[in-house]
Amino acid sequence: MTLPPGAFIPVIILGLVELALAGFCIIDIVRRPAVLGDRKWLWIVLIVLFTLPGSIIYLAIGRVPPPVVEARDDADADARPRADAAADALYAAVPAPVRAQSAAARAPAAAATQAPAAAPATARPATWAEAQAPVAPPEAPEPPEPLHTMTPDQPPAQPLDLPAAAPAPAPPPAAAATATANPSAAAVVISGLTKVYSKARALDGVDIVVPEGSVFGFLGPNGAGKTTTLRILAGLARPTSGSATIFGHDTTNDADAVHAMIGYLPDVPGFYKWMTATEYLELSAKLFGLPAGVRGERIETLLQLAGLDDVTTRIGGYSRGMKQRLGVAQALINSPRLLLLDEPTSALDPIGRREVLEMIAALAGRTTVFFSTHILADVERVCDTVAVLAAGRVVEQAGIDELKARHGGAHRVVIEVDDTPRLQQALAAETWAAAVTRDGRELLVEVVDLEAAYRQLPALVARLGLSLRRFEADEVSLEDVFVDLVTGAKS
Amino acid sequence: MRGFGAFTAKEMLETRKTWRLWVLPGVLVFLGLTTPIMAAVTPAILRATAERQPGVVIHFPTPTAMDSYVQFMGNLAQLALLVVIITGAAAVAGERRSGTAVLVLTKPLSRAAFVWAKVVANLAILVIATAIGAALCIVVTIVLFDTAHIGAFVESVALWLVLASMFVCLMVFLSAALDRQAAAAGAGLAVYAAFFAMTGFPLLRDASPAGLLASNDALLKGRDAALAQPVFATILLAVVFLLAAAWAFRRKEL
Repeated sequence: MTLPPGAFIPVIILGLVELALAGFCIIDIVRRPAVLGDRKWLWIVLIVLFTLPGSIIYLAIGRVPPPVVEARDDADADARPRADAAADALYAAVPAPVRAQSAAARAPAAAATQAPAAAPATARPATWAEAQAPVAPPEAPEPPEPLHTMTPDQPPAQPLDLPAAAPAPAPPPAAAATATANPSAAAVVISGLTKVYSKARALDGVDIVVPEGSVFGFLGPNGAGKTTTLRILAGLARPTSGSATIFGHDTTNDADAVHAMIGYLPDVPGFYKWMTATEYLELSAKLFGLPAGVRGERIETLLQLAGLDDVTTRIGGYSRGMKQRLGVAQALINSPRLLLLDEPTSALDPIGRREVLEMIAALAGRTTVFFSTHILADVERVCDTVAVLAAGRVVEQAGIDELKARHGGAHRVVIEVDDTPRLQQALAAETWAAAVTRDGRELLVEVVDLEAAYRQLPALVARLGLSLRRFEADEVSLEDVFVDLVTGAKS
Repeated sequence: MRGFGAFTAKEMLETRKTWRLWVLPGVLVFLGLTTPIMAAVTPAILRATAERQPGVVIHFPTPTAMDSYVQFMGNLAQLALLVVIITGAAAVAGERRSGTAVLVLTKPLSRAAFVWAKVVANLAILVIATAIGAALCIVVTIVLFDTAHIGAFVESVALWLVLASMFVCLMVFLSAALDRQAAAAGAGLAVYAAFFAMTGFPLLRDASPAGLLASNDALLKGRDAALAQPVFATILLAVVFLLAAAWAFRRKEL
């Protein structure tokens, strides 16, 4: 074969075109906010190695357009009924012991968020110890641990192929000492948990017991060790010492059994961007071995719950709130006995936050929720029990009311009269007034008996002939308790 | 191996729906199409260039089908292996970095199933892409040249597949063991360079995958090469890397 004398000219032109194309592609990659696969360096290597085909492939598929979000109607007022319906569908067959034990825990959430009528109107446990105590003895022997629960029309067995469940170990001495009169009712037992990284002690002897069926708030400032604890519970990290068990299964040595029982949502959930929500839930359901019929039904329920049933966009185009809602949905795919949520509301707008909280509230009593956050209003809204973590240590664990009572000190009353020094002098003789502080024309009275203060303080003002301008009780908030505990732990 | 089937299906779907479908198959298809053309045209281009230089006379042998196949095998041993190494580096490290591994590994999916599903998916795409690339190479070679030694070429490609499969296992291991994708790619390239260097030492070459790298076109050229030991060593190493990948990933905290 011979070529005409000028044949090399087009070859050189072709080479220059190739170089120009490759140069354009590389500059485009550098300047573009995102490329397919999120690996800019890989695309550059591809183009450098295979100039022409690499450039063509990049131009064909590598240039990711800006995210297209099919946002839901965020003003949707049906969040709570939808959450309740989904929770009913997911936990229609919750074993009796769980329902019984969870009754106490369910009441506060019901009170706070108007739970469905079916919710038993049981009083909130007054103390942590009461919450720990068995609420109702099971009528029948406890059934085998449900790998996931099913709606009544689902087939009776799920082929999860779990290893034989190990006998539940006896609760560790430290945990037994701190908490429970009924260890078998505990969903989570963390005992002496320590985690040391190369230069930092993230956890320092953490002891926690979470009663089954409760919504447990895990509070702490940023960097306190909340995420580390959750990672250990989810079997993603190993403790340096101590142990963590979920329904009696060690999270390190028996991770397979643990994973079959939990749903986990990390603080920043990582999804396959190329999948749709349906595909992701399908994958999750298949990993749990759900049969095809159950899968379809459950995915539909969860997509509705997350408000993603009409969204066909790939997950890569989702907003943060949509990802978070999908995160909750994937965590519920197996109707978990324990739902681990790591700061699920921290990056959401008020409406997204409300929706996630509605979901959690709807689950109260149906399953155990372990919920880490530093947003105290969320905890007050949905949790019945909290633990406060500071600098890697649990500084307190109790029911919310008990915590306030224990750390709020005496109740406080604010009173304003026309002659403050006279009233201050008179209060010194009253036994129900523990301390009086003057702040301008106001007196801040710490009282040991609030009822006595309500009765006697106005009478005292009248007896002294003073003019009463303001009189109100100053409630101790969870925020006050939290700040006291955390600053106390730091000092 | 809990979750292996479901996760392997996800890997195959990912291959179909993302860039993975285009990179290695794209390269092999490109090589399959262009290598015979380049083998046929290159002597003519060089001759035309040389004729423009006064006093320069270069004699080129007439290109044959063998030249086409030998060049294709050379490209497989270099460019295609580099693509296998670079794309394989992302297999596990990429999922760890993006946080996707965390969500699936807190479900009933064992760490071993996770890495072995990666291996299976990467091997599947490697085999399919190589088959398509080699088939295209054969077709274009038959069109451009009169004769073709298909049997020896297919055997050579099969031997290369054994070597490339070992590199797939190696890269999944490195990707599972090292924290960063770039570190895995760098280590993979270092191993490739080491095997390449070993081809200069007969003792090492004949007892290691370097033997396959060195004798990549031996079957085509009818050279007598002792390939049993390198093939055995390559398969053995692949199995070791498979097991090591599962072991290393099991020890990793996510």
